[in-house]
Amino acid sequence: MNNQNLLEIKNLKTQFHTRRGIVKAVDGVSFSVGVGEVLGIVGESGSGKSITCLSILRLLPQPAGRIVEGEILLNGDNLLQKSEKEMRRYRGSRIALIPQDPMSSLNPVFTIGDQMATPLRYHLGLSGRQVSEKVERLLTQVNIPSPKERYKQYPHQMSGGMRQRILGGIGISCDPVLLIADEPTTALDVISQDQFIRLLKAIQVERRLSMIWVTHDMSVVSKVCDRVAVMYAGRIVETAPVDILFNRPAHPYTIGLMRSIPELNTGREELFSIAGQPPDLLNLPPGCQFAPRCEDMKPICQEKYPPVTMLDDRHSVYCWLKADHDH
Amino acid sequence: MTTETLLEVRSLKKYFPVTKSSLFTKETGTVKAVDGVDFTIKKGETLGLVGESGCGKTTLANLILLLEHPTAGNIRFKSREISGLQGKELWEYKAKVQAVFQDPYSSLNPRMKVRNLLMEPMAAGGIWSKAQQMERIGRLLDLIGLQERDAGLFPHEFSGGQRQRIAIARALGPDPELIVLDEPVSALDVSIRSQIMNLLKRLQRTFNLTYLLIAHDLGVVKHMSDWVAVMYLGKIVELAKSDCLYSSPLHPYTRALIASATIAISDRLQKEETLTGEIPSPLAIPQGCRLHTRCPQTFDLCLKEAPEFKEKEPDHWVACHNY
Repeated sequence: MNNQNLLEIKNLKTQFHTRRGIVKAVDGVSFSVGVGEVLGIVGESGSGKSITCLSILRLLPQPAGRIVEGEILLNGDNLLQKSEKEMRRYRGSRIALIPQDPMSSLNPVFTIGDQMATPLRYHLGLSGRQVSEKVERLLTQVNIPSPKERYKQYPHQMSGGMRQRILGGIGISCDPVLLIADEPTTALDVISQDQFIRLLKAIQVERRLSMIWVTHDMSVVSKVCDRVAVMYAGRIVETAPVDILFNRPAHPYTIGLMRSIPELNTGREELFSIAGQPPDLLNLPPGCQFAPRCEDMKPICQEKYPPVTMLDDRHSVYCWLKADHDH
Repeated sequence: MTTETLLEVRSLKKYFPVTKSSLFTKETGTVKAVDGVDFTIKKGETLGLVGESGCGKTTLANLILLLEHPTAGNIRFKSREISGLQGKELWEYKAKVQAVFQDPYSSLNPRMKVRNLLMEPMAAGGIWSKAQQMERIGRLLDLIGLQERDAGLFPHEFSGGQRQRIAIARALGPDPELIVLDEPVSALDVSIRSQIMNLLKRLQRTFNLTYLLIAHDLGVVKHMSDWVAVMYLGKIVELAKSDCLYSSPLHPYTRALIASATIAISDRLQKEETLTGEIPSPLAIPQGCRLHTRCPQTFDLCLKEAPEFKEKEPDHWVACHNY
């Protein structure tokens, strides 16, 4: 891997203005993705993982969602300063998204071929034979048998696994530099999940693609990611290379998550569980958001958000228990 | 240990006709959702049922819950055939066999208060008076970690995990012996999942409950179950004690399932045994062994003959020509 960062996000804050108040969905998130690196973003629903991804693409639900602060730098270029017209040139070509739900992400009234052709026509300016040839090549790449026939079929004629692979094909169709996969395997069965992960990982390695892979499944993380960022209530609480995160998790939330997964090689004793519920984003506790559920909470945890602590040069954690000095 | 057999399922089949209606309705095919399934569950034990979607797990659950009627085969509850039950006996069976479903957002009626939700199955059982029902509600809520005052609230006032707790309390209401858990934790967040699993296990110990657990997460199944059955296209392909199934799986399908679910950092994406292709349509189940189109260990016999479901080792049943 190389040290050059393709994507750098600095202090991103995304909020939703609702009738009940302001929801701080992403509240000061900073991270980077290197060239050829797969960054996993892990967290529960409502932790802000998907909103972080949508912020990068500037696809937030309008008018409620807005990015209020921060920078999103792609090769040093701030995406937040682009016009809507310029952004359209980025989406699907330089930055592509593989969405979560293969059942609802494809349009049921257009053929697979039509839907795969759209970005090719728009971004690459291909036409006629070039388009159909490229679509067939893509279908072959994502392991869809008999691409010539599939080209003319509709989404409902295919299984969930195939539809997800087609979305993968659309994702890579215009040679993106950054591919964002937002829980791409959650809706799939274990076997099709495994097939999809292997396929996408192989493509990523071959093209040295940079990826952000959002998931809540630790076994997926272990298979595809180089580095992992753990999110809780709109913030990143810990970032580490994948083997360090599994062997030496530092944040109490990460530790709790790891211990509460029933693994295939453990016994049937009582599982560890994190007490309480994820916080209400409209009404976040002061200080560290995890404090009310944390077993080792100190008084300072409820007063101030902890500063970053570097456990080694690639392992950072936001926790008062790990901070070596009180600010 | 000799414990009473609570539920016995013998060569159970459920076929759904596929019709095409133009002017006249024509039967054009059959979906063999459940195609000859045998198993027993002993009292106080948990049988985990795993398989891909479309393999017939939920149809099997519906047959046991009497939401569907079998095409052939028997279901015996405490040695009594349930298909012929009528009147009072039928209601008794329905009270003794309860269910918890996957999605606590759609399985609780949004217009009913928690109190009414919990009372409904108790009232249907017809054993308790109104006063007794009210008293039981307090105890049930306490058991699942909610407070008595929560009885007056509506489902939308609770989080996903709390709603699933309410669904569990509702199932406990009529004092059941068997609870069918259809994907009870897959809609919940990771940190809430383990809370619900621990709750289910605690309740099982307290009330000596028997569970039929349907799930696709092998970790969850392993953690909860005494026995595990693996289903593929309407048939059970392997059945064994939980520890045994995970430590020495025999059937290629089980092996692929386990390989794909393992957390693997050290040996990332090695060429483990894996299946290729898609699950065939249940309208056109392959001849011979149903897995032969995707199996890495297929040989000529697999194409011709369906393997028998045999006890290969004590308490370890498998249907595969390789064994």
